Amino acid sequence: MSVILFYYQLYVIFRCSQDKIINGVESCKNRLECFASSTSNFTQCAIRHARPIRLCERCVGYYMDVLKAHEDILKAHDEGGHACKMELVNLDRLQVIEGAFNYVHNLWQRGQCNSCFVANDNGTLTPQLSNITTKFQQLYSDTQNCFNTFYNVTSKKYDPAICANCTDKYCSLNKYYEALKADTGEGIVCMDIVDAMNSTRTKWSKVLGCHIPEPKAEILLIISVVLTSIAPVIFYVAAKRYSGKAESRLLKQRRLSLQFNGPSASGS
Amino acid sequence: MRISGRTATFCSVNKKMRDRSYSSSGEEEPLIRNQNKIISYGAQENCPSGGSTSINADPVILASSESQLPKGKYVLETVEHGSLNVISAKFESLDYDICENHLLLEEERTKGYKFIVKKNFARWFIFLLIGMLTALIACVIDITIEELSHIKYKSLKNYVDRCISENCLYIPYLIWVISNMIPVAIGSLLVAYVEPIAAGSGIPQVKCYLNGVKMPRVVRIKTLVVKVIGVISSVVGGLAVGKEGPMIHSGAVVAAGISQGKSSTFRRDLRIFKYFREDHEKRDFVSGGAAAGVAAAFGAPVGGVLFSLEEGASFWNQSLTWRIFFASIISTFTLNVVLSSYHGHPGDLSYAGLLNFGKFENISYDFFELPIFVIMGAIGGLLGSLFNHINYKLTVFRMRNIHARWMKVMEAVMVAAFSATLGFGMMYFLNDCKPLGQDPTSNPIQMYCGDGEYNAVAAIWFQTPEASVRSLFHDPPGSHKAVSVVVFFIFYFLLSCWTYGLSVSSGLFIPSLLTGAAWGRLVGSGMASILPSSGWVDPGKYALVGAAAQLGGVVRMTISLTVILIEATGNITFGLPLMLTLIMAKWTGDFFNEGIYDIHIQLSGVPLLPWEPPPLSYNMYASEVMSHPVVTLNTVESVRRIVHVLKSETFNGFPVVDPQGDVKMCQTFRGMILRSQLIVLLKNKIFNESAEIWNCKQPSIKMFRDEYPRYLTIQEVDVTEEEMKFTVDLRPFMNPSPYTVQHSASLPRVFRLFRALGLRHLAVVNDTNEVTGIVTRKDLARYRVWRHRGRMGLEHLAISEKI
Repeated sequence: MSVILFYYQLYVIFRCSQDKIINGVESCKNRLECFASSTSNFTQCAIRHARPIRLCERCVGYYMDVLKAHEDILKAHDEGGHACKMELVNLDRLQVIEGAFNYVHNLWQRGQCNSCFVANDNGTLTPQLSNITTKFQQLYSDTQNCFNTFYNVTSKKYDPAICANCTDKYCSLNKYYEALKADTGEGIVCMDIVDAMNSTRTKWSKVLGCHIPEPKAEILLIISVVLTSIAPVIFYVAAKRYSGKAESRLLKQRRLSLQFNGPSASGS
Repeated sequence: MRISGRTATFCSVNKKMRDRSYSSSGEEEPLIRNQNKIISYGAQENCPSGGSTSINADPVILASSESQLPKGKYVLETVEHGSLNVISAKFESLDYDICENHLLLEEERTKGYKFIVKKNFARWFIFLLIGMLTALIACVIDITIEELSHIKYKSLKNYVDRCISENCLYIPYLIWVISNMIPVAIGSLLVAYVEPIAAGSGIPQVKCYLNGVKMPRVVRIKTLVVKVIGVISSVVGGLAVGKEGPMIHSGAVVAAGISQGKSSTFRRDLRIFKYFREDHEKRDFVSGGAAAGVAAAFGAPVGGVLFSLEEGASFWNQSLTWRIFFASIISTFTLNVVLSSYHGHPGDLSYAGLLNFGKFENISYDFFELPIFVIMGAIGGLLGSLFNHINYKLTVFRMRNIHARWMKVMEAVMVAAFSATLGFGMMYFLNDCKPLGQDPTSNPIQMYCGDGEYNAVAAIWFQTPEASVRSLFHDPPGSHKAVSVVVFFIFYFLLSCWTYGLSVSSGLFIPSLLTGAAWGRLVGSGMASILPSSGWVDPGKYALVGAAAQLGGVVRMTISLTVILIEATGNITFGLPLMLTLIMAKWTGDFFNEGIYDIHIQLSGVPLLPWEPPPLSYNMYASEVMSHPVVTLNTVESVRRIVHVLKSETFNGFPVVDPQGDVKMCQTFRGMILRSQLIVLLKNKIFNESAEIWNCKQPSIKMFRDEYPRYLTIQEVDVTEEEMKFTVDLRPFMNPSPYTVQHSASLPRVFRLFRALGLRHLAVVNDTNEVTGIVTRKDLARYRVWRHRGRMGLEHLAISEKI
């Protein structure tokens, strides 16, 4: 059953691409079919590669299909010369097509996936991985290979020697990532890379136990902390001790009652 | 003998005056008789040997026979600084009352309705300028702080990251300490040595100014410069301060500056807006400036108007509201235009990053949560009053023991160093590690966390306090360990309390919000752990309520704070919880003490007049309230006497009376003349004897207006010995119809007249229109109502020389 379904999908994809070539004017129904299949392909792909995230790298083809199918719907006309846009989009409040497209588009954007790939001069996406990505993947697979060589399959444990031996590879990966982040700025690194790095780091610290930093007492630090903490106390004590009395004289108020009470007190 | 006899007669009269039915003219005879005790310099001219007075003697000494002190102005007591029940004599009132003398009438005649239209148009134009300039200054502050902090924390992060592995943590620590100390030292030096009034948030000062107290130098351009540089340096210097209060003060200075069309500091007169050169007009513009400042600080235009109404202005009218709102909207708009292009979204004015505390998406609350908010409000009130009490004690200590300017600078620098130490200590000891995955922080610091994790405490400290508020509001649940939030709350509470009142420009809003957000978040996450299955517990929501409660407990504002928080979070549905919280915070806090601004105003001895007269005071009469021996001037007065009076008295207004042939004769009240007017007269030598010289120049109101707002002192006016013999006719220059009250008027009546009209001098007359006394601001402000733990009463304040 699933095999049949698979072939049907292949057929639809095939037909989509064939249609473009054979016939410039195609029915809007077919285009809708194209969009449906490409969206579902992308969604399947995205979910399959949700953990660990490889969404950008693996699903870029499907994503571009969705973009193309969507653009077709917006631009194309059917035999009668009606715009497909008028027949398919903006007719009801459910807005299935736009909703589906937005879901795909937002997912892609939130993952900053565009930055994984080379962009055309006009800014459109190409499925070609950028140099940065390939370099990172190279370093990443080096590190993973190194990890794997120290993995004991029978005891399902990592050899403790892993830390000493893989440090170079891990550090160069780490350094490359930091440099990448510094270059591109915060938050616009492709999600594949970010996730790969995060999981590697966690593995390095938590699973492999290679980097467990311990607070160390530094004598210089302690001295300077103590000094800055004591300084205010000394300052306030000294201020209290040596400051003169801050007083101001009270003014005699000119009151009618004082006119009579005051002189009688001092005068009599 | 004579003296005691008079006492007896007056006492009996006083007794009768208690009963209002007795106040017919016949009963007042002793009062009239008492007129000869009024020290009238005019009288001595005609009758040099009249009575026991002599011309050179100080009037008060005369009243109290031989004085005990070298200068008879003082009583024997002194008061230590930092006393709440003393008014400082150095504060003067502003002249809101327009002097309707002949010159004004003459000027009025030359103007038509065209002038009124022009003036109204100019007024709108000025409010437009106020809004724009205030916003631009706010942008400068905002962007500079953001850029400098970014550089600072970025490099600190790099040092920390490097030094964790190389064991050189003292280097980032010292860099942090020094990068705190240097900016704070710059700001503090400026404040301490250049313009001390730029210290603190500026809100109390603006409030006093708008109440009608002449705060020296509060709206000068020098103050603005010091304030702007000061606030940038104290926020960049990592103190527990915000930039909001100083922005409000900046707005006020901008307003006062623009509306005058001239700057005394730069000695430039643009010769525009001359008709706005009076205290009354300036006051209205300053209200607008303060509102524009709030609007720029929080992106809250309505909140700005309400702030100006609630906390600032003491005088308000409908058309002013509309203009102030205009200025606020313009201010927010200008700020959004500039900041949206700064953030890379030019032209997008609804860009969410412009909301100060970030947008709360789908914040919702249920009916049963309202009691929780009320309880949180009460907690906020308690914490706020504790904050105020600690800060009050600290301020008193500072006033008494830290006088020298270098000591103030040193204190500020030490607090800056300690702030860094505190932050560092918390990062060091609280190992609150969170995985990097969701990345809510821009400078994640690993410290002693594993790889792929960051220190959540460091994330709070390595940003400006405002950004920290935003993260406490919006970080997803579980971003911080409860322990680290508790420790942060306790220390930040104390640190911000310690910081407020230093000799730096600093706002109080952000540190209070941050403290409140910390404990609010704790409440939220505590409830989430008790009720794990409930979907309504959102730590961010409770952080917002906690922040509101804490700030409300400290500053005791209600309506404006509610609206400011609604606008700064872009969430109008949350208005009711915020309001409940703030009301509860205010009531709880007021049970113990007053708001922090009021405490600081009282400590500095400003004679602020509250909205209402003291209750239960109808049995106090004007004759008790007024200052009694009044220095009067004759309608035609000799120059020698004027100079002498101005030199020996500190009063600013003098009743003008008919000259008397005989001491016993009545001195009918003719009008009121101000010290500033007398000085202008002397300076321009408007003497009767030299009339032919100045008559061709036609003395006009312009002569007085040009001197505004900084008049010469009498010592600076040159009067030759020959001119001393001349005389001046005061009648064309005095205010011929000043407000007066009968001496039998009650205190509430006097108070309301004085307060509502914004008077400076209110003459007290008897039935035959003779001046028996004068009521000034200090005479009224010395009656103050205190409230404490549900009890209240009236206290009489002393007046001291200077604080």
